Amino acid sequence: MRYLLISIFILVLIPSCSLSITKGLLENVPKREYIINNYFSDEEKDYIYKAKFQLLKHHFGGILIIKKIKTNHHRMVFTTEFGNKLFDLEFIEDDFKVNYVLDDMNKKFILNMLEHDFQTLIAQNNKVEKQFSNELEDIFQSNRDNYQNYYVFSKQTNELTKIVSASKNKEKLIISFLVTERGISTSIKLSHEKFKAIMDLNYIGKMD
Amino acid sequence: MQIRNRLLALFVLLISFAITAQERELSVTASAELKNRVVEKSKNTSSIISDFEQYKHLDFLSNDIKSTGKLTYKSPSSIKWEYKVPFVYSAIFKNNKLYINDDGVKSNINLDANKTFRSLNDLIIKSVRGDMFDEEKFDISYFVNSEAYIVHFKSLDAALNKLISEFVLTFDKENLNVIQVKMIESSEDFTLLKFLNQKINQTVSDAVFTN
Repeated sequence: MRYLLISIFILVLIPSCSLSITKGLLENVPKREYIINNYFSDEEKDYIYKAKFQLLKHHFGGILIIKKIKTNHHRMVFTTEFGNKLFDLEFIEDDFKVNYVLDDMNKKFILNMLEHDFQTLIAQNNKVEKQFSNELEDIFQSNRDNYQNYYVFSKQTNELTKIVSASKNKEKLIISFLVTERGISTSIKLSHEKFKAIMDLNYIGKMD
Repeated sequence: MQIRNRLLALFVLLISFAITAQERELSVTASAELKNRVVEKSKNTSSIISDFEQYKHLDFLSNDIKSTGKLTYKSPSSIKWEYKVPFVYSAIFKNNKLYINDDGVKSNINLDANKTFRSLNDLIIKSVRGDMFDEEKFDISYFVNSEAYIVHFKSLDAALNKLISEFVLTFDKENLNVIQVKMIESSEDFTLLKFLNQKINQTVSDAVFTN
């Protein structure tokens, strides 16, 4: 009985501690109420990226276009290189609107994934629940829907370098902001742990 | 100041009216004659080499997205789009297959599997040649201005309509080369292709169409 209880205790405890993003880190009292992702925050700018998507051995490409319409309102369109639209989405507050999606992609699990991935990528104001630190980084936890999103800021540059989106016990999506120039993240990598899917985004829009 | 603004508005209105007035619809006879000439020219086109500028217009963007590259077409149905700026990407349509080279990453797609995508690609090839006068598929109307003939092809096909509702082809008045293709979506967003430095019927090696 004692072993059974210990086993149950361990089973319950381990998952809640097993996220590598916060493993071994001490929790601090949050220094701020909100953390801000400013990479898609300028209403004057058209954020245009060449996208390369890899799923297992398959490769797809396209153009990802992100535009902030107003506060808490973004529009996002994905086209082929030729300009044919594959999807046209809108994120308004916490609502998600599908303006257009190619018939072949009009499936619930695909739309759910697009909503979660891209909402995580662009959400500008995120309420801080917890804060962790290591020598080089401050990590802020913010919860959205059923996910815990961890925003990693470099202590040296104060820049957002990574967002890790996790369910209770597993990291699902990692967004790495690899290069930043003049406030624009010019190289971004989105990796899906479960599907072994990777999307590379390289900025091709105007810099000024 | 107010009067000056009103005069300016009137002036702009008159100018824009004058510009649109320059474009007029062709008569039935002139339309038929233009169609015959274009079809004849298309039949005699064995190859096209051309630079292109592509403009993607989305209503909510501040600027159209511009890309440029080179197009090579060889009769009957091989076509290569080489994008050079702002990204390096090429796509070859040959024998119902699409061969892609995305900045070094090569892949191919069998178009037999997707009827709509295949028919769209067929139409793009036809539009580059100018030969898309299919009255069962399109409601066609013919216009002319001082420099060019402009032909509107409104899609009558429900599946195609979801992707492109209208093609607008602009033909050079002198040599009937297709100098612009505009593909308008039902949302009214569009893709505009402008062709520059066109060379017609030059020898094109089959090696161009290998990925």
